[in-house]
Amino acid sequence: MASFFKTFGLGVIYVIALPFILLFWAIYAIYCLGVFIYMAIRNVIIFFSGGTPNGDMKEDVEAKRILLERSQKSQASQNIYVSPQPVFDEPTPMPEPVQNEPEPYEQPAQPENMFYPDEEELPIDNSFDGDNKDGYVD
Amino acid sequence: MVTLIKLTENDKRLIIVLLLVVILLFVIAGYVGLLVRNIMKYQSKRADDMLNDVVRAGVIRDEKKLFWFGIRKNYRVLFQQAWIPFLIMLGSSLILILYCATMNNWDVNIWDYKDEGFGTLFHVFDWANAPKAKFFGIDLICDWPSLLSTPHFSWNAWGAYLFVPGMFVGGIWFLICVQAYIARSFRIKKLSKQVFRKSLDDYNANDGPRSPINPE
Repeated sequence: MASFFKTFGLGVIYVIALPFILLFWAIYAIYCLGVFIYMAIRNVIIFFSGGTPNGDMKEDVEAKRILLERSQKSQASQNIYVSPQPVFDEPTPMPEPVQNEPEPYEQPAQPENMFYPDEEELPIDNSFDGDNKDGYVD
Repeated sequence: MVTLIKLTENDKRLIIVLLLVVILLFVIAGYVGLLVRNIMKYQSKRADDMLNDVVRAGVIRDEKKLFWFGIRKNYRVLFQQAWIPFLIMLGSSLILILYCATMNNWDVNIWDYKDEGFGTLFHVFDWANAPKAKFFGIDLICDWPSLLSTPHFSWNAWGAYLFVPGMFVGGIWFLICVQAYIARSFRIKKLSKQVFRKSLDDYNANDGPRSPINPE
């Protein structure tokens, strides 16, 4: 409802301002007609003097040159850092799907100098008969 | 109590209907205005295209120079857009001149509905003698007027048949070009101020890096 009233209000404003808008438009139309005639005469003169009517202005030419240089510079800087990618003649074959089987466990090899003493070779302390009935040294 | 106007039930209904029609007309005018505004916004985008390169390349670094460059560029765009409708109008005028020359009649009424004008293609009503009725003291037309002419093709009106549609199409086309020129002019004026404006709206001096404090 608010937008409806807003549009209605705009309509009232436009209707009131319509004569002024049309006057403004008519003045601009006359001005544009003058501009058109001026441009037509100017273009005819440029054409017959060997120029290009409605060609690029000198500011445009300068801007295009600067932008081209910039793009070339950025292109060159990108070429330094981008490493070439290998090209394959044939598509790389996809690896075979891995089957869900456990790999066989291999016992790691023991080092040669590893020494495990036998129980009989261990020294026996017979100095006291306490709780330590086995008589092993801690 | 003094009663100034005594309204019948019919008058009240008529007033309500008229009020609704007036409201509807204003709403339609509002939508038409919004449509024109949106079209002008679309047309003004061309100004951005025109000024983009010179601003980005830094060829123009001044508000006034950008404005005048935009105006000169706008002249060129106007010429590029308007030469076709202008040619159509010029061609139509030449056709009318040729018609007058061949018919040896330089006093042609192009709106004539009897024989030689564009009005032969339309229904023409006698609005001057239309039946009228008084409504609140105003004379309003209350019925269709009598018919003066029905649509018919006349060979004598070929000049008007070519001249009027040509001028109509060319004229409307040229006015659209003028509207686009106005839209671009406004945009150029706005951009020339906006592009080089220095703003401190989002700047806070405390946010930036500070110079280290040297111990004394």
